[in-house]
Amino acid sequence: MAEGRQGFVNHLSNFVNALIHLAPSRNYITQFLYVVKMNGSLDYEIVEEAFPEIVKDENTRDAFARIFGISFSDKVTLERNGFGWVLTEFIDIIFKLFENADFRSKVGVLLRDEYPEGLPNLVREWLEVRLKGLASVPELGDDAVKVLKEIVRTERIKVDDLERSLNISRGRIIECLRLLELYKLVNKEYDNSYRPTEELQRYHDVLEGI
Amino acid sequence: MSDMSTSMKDHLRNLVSALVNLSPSRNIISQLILLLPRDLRTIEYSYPEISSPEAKEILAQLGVRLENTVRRENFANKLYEFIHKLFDWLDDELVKNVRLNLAKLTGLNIDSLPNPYAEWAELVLRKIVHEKNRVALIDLLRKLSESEEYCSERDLQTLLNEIRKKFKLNPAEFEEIVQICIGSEEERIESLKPGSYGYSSEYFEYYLRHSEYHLDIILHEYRYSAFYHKTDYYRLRHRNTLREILRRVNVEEKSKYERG
Repeated sequence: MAEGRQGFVNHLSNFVNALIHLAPSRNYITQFLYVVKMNGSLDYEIVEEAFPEIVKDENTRDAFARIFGISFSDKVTLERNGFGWVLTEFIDIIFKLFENADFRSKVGVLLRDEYPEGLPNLVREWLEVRLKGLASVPELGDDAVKVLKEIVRTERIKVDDLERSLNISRGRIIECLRLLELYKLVNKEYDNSYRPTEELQRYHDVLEGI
Repeated sequence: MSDMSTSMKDHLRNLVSALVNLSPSRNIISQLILLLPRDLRTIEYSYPEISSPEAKEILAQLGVRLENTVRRENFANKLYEFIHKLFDWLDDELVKNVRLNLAKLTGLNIDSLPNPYAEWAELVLRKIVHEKNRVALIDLLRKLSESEEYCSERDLQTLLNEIRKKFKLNPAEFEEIVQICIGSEEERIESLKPGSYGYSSEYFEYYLRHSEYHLDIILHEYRYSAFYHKTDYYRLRHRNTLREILRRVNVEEKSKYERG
């Protein structure tokens, strides 16, 4: 059955590669769609700054709107049941699959040549991409990382306490927090405190490399 | 799109390529998942590649339940739903002109853009031409592909009766043909047309009819107007693609027959 086994390995390889290539950490288009999706809606200016290649040119923007079901007005949103929405829902399912260590390990055994370090955990990878993106935001990136590290360290903290412990102005901290919410790295709680998102709590060691 | 950077085009091409590689015409994992539920022995016979314990373990991780009747769950179920959307998207059924716009954005010729539905339908048709009642099957598919876009239950029944009489099909043969081409199981698809629900006094519900090989030809549309008055009709889909494939398969089969 070596031939049958190899046949399966070939199909598995194509299948797994296709799933990996849809991840927002690997593709600019799915990254754009996923960022819009995870925020519900985004200010047009923010999207234009983050994804100029998609948004700046009117023809490109219109084509994207039609193909993926995107509404571009003051806010940018994905239309429910447009293909962009469907694709990002499917990406959530891919994330869940690749977060399963058992799946990664079993597939990793068969695809060892292709993935000598094992199959990527796409949730962790997407988190790393966002953190690197955050750190590289001009002027604000460094402070945003400091604020984030403090939130992770304390697990839950209010703006006043951040101001005291970091010695950064309140206005700047608020700007950093907005950025962190945009990247879905922190959640604002009912008592106005901030906590790391569940993903960041699970993979907080990722922050060490930033 | 002259000012579009190469990297942008590459990302869009990569995206399309990844999606196409997930389609059942290109991958037995997607193909198997699409065709479930099926008898385990049928699956093992049709897909000898999955006979190893490692393959079975991985399929189980993907949500393929390998019992006497092989079923899908979890990830496999979501992939199944996604494949149907992908079929529609790249065959201009979800919204019009997706292919035209993708061709413009990627710089690819529209004819060289892969079409997972067309590839799948062609595979299915090449299988059908070996079935016992192939002439009736092909005739029914041709008539469906040449019909008006919308038809009523009565129109559909009239068409089916014509086929039944023309080919003198017994009830079992007739049922088999209906299952292969049209199917009977309907799956509700929420709000295909955005805005349908809004504040209007009418709304629509859409049910996709699954045939044995998922040719996705019929969308059953229900329209509820004021006071819950309900009307329904069938929308016949993928007609242009089916017509083109039927023509191609027919020409090839004829020439094979003539060559003996």
